[in-house]
This record gives sequence, C-alpha cells and structure tokens, in this order.
Amino acid sequence: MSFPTAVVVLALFAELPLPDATLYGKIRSEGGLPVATGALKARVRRAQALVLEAPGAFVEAEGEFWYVISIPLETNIGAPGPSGVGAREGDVVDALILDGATLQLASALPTLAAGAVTRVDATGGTAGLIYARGDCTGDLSLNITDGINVLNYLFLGAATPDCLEACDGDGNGNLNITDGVFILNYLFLGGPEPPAPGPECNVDPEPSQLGCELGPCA
Amino acid sequence: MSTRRSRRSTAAAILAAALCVTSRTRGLEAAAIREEVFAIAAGWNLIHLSGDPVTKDPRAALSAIDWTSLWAWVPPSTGQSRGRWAAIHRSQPAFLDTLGTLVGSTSYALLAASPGTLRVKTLVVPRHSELRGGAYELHGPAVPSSSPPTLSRYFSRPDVKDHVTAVYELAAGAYRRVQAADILRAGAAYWVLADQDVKEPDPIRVRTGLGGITFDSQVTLAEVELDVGTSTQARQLTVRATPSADGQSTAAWLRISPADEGLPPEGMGGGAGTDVTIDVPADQSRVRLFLGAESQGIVPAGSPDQGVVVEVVLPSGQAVLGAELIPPIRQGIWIGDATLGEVERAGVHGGGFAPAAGLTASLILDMPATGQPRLLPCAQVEAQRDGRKRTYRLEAVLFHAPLPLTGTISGDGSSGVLAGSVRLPPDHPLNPYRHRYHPEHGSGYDITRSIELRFGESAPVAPRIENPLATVGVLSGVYEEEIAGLTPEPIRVRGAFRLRQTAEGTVAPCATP
Repeated sequence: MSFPTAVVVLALFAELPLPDATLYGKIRSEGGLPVATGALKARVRRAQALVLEAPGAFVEAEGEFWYVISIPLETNIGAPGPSGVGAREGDVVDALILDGATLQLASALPTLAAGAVTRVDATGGTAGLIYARGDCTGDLSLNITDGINVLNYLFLGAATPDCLEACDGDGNGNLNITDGVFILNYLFLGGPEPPAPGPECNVDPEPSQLGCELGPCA
Repeated sequence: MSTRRSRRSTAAAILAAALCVTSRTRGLEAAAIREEVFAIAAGWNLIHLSGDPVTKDPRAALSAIDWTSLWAWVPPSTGQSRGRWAAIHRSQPAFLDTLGTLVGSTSYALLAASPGTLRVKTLVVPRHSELRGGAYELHGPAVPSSSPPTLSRYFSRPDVKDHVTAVYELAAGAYRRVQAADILRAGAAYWVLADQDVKEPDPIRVRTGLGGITFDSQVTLAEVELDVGTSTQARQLTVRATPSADGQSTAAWLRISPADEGLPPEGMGGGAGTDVTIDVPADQSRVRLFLGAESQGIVPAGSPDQGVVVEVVLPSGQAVLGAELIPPIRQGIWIGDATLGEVERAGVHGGGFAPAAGLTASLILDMPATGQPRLLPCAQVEAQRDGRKRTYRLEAVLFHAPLPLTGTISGDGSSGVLAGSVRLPPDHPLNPYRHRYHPEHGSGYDITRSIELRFGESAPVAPRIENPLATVGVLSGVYEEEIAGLTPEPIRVRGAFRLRQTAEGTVAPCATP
C-alpha cells in the first residue's frame, strides 16, 4: 500500500490531537433492509489529496443498527511531535465506502470540525441476513413446531424450510438432529438460548452457507 | 480550656505515628473533599480535575453548565503510535458515548455552548503526574491559584526541564505554544511533549507512606517529607489546612510545624484555614513537616470521619494532601470507676496528699452530642439474659442528681478537663449538719463539692496492667474532689479513674425524679 504525498508530509510536521469528528447513521440496502456488516470506512480528502481512510463499526442500539466512524483530527499549527496521522479541521469526507463500494448518501457529508457529530444516512451494500434463530417455520414465533419442523425436514422428507439458517438452532453452521433437540431444550428444559441473531428477529453477524430466503423478519 | 498533654502521651503519639503512618493503606481518599472551580468559556476548554469527583456521572457533574461534549485523552499504550479520545455528548445518541465516568487526576477537553462556572467536589487522591515520552499528553500541572509559577519555574528540576520539549495551551479558542516565562494557570490542562518518560515532573514531591494521613486515637501525629528540589535562592513554603468541602470537618484540629522544630506546639498553625510559612534555605531540597490532629469536643454517634485538605505551596508549584480524622470519642454514656486513694486534710496533717484506704466509686459520664457532659447518679443497662431482655440499674453513689460539667476534652481523650460542683445547702437532706444538731435547725454550713476530671493525666496510683493498645473507647485520668464546708479547711480527695464507652443504645440515664 502506498501513501499519498500529503500523508508523508503530515508525518514530518506532526500536530496536537484534536477531538475526533464523528459520523454516524443508518445504512440500508437497495431493498430497504438494514445493513449491519461489512468493511466500512470514511475517505477524507484535503483538496484532491487523500488524507486518510477512517474505519467504521456497526453497533446495535435503540433496536436498530447504526454505523459509527470516528475520524482522528489534529491541529495545523506546526507543533512538533510524532503524531501526524490525523485529518485536519476543514478537510472533507468525500465518500463512505462499504466493502469497496461507495454508498449513496442521504445528505451531504460535512467539513470536518473538532468534536463535531454528524448524522448521515446512506444506501448501498448488502443487507444483513435477518431472521430469528430457531424459528424454523418462519411464523415469527418460537414454539414446539419449530423443533419438530427441523426433525421433519431432516428425517421425514418434509418441505425445505425457507430459512435454513433459522433452523440451525445451535448456530454451528450444520443442520442435524441436534438443532431440533437444541430448540426443544431451550423451549422446555431451560437450555441455552439460540446464539446470534438469537430467538428474536435480528441480523446474523456471521451467516453460514445454509441459506435463507427473505423471511417474515425482513 | 486546659490543654495539658503529658510527655508520656506525646511520646506514645510519636511512637504510634512512626509505627502506624507507614503501614496504613486507607485514608487519603476517605474524607478530604475540596471544591475545584473552573471558569468555562464558550467553545473549547482544557481543564484538569485534580481530585476524584464525588459525582462520577459526567452528565450530573456538568449539569450546571451549558456543555456540548466532554473528551478525555487516552495516551497511546505500548506499540501504539497514537492515543485516542473517550467522549460523552450531551445531545447525541448514547451509543456514541465512550466516556462513562469522571476520574480524578485527569485532564479533559470540554466543549461548552456558553460561558459558565463549573464546580466539582472532589476527594483528594494521590496525584498521578507521570509524563510518557514520545507523544503529547494532556497534563494538568499542580499550580496554586494565587501566584502561579512560570513554565520554566514549574518544570525546573534538572531531570525534568531537559526533557519537556514543547508545551501548548488553549488560549482564546486557539492553541498557543507556552513560552518559558509564561505563567501557568491553576486548573488548566496543557499539551505536554516530553522526549522521554518523566516519572515525577511536579516541583513538589510528597512522601507520606503508603496510604496518606489518617489520624485516630492511636495516631495523632504524622510526618510528611517534601522534596522541593534545589534552588539557588531561599524559598518560602506555605502550608495550609482547609476544611473539607463536605462541611463535616470542625476547624482547628490540624496543627502543622516543621519537624526540625520538634513537635507541634500547642496552638501552632492555628488549625484549618491558617497559613504556616516555613523558610527553605537555598541549599535545602527536603522539608519535613509534622502534622498533628486533635479533634475538638464530642462527635455525635454515627457521624462520618472528618477531613481536611492540606495544601503545600512553593513559588514553583503546589501539592495537595488529604488528611482524615477518625474521631475516637463519640457521644454516648461512659461507665467506669474512680479509685480514690489519696486525701489531703490541711488542718490535720499540714497539707499535701497522703495515702488513704482506697474507696472505689462508680462513675457514669454522659457525653451528649450537644449540650453539657454530666455525671449521672444512675443508668439503666439493657442486657440479654437467658434469651430475654433485662434491664439493670447501675448506681453512682457519689452523686444524688445529674451533675453538669463544663470544660472540653480533646478528641483523642489525652487531654482536657471537665469540672462541676455540687452545693448542699444547710437544709439539704444530704447535708450532715442538718442531722448533727437538730432536724429543725435552720442554720449550718453550705457544703460544696468541686469535682474535676482531668483526662490523660498520669494516675497517682499504680496503673493496671493491661494491653496498652486496648485504649480505643477508653478514657482515663485523675478524679479530684474538694469538699468545702465540712471542716474548717477543705478536704481534697483524688484518685485514678477509668471509663469505657458503652455500646450504643444499651445504656440510658435513669429517669430523673
């Protein structure tokens, strides 16, 4: 990876840290579904030069998924020091990039200022897989029929469930008899709760290869 | 008030201080509370909280000002090139907040929408002032608000001044490099860059043992060593004890003196709020101080420990210590006895006390939270016996009615006098003249009993052998009574007394007829 010239110059004239500029908001897929995974970053430019790409993270709060990006800032007064990795006030964020693709923004990205917090929602990326683990029947209710549905599908030739990920009760990426038993254990014997996304509709942070059609959660 | 203190008790205090001060691990953070005040400007402010805030929730602590966000700089750890910020925002979603609590000895960047005054009550905690080399640190120098030093004077130690390479302040909304002759501001934080780790950049270094200063019935004296660095000029060191901002401290319990001058003399230092100045010669880099604690009066049961903030100020900087006093004598009823083993009858054997057959008499001393102490004629003691609550009556036959006492007693019980008198007029039922001549005889003599309890005085009789450390909750001294009117010359009796504090709620005065 090669650094643009501007970054090299900043490293020589390091500065005092300034409080970060913060971007946050929601990202939805083209289909309007929440996006909660992926490699997200904000690209910061000064004039035409790339200054830095600040990484972002997804958090679940207030029942929704949000992205948060903190952009490190520093002064431009020529203070001596070893820092030189921050953006400066007045620099601009010219793009939000998710998994290498530029997101469409609902509002203009701000000029950076110390301590400023700006909400910018975006569209793009791939929606996360949303389902309730254990809800194998897809009826938005976790009950005895879900456990039986797993066993019926595996051993009695019942129709393939729409969301096999949801039938993977123990979340180990494989569908077998233990998933049906796991669901029944959770329901009736005080067994452990199904792992993420859990028994309520939520985004699977690490989907396996079992597959899941758009279900009632979406 | 008599403040006699025996040499024995003073020596014991020194020994106790030597043994205990270095071994205590609690105390500094216990009770010494001070209020830190910051003038907040609209926009960014760099402030330094010296003590640990009593209110740790940032939203509650900042509620009095129009703030926008508060930021704390987390220096880079090993292997990291840059530190990071932790922040809390007033009007943004809570999931953006990364700063959970306010912490003492920490600097903050505060963004305010409008000017105001921020007042934060903080517990005095040991100061952490290390500078890590190679990166900017948000650092709060310990400077007094009155006559603060210049930058060069503050970082004047040889092992410090050569390694602090750049200092920046926030002035009028912009960063500005601080020059050597610029005066530092109390309560402000600065960006400081050192080219190597500097363990103790402050101009005053304080050694107080492991935990700080805690005074109780065992420790009434503490020694503090100050490293004030070398200087080509003589300096004046000022030491001041300020009452704790929680309002729990009684003033005038802390006495301060240079250790070279010996023990704190009575009254020296004037107690809380009074400056003590000490001249430090140019070639002297270490100053030893004695801090002496002596609580005044009786403390209500259940009352918290008391604290003072001790400020040590040099022209080049400031150090702050917390001192805590655990009041050893609290309100309640004290029960014990006096062994009256000496009598002086001037008219019989020419004056001076002579041994006599000992009379042991019960004493019941009531120390109320407010009002006068008094000697009681009787008390009711509650106890469990055979699983049932029983009430016993304890008599003090020397007294027929509660005897109010005047005077004061030191907090550790090592000095002080309580005195009172009983007058028996000629027709009083207990006046022997009334019966000696005729029941209806109208004339006789007043009999006056003047009683004095002198606390902490050595008993004129051999002390009992017991654990010398078991003195918490024990008051002892000399009981002396002068009986005038019974004989042409007054009769004086005296003896040692010893009282123990009773458990709270188990003893009550008898109903007074």
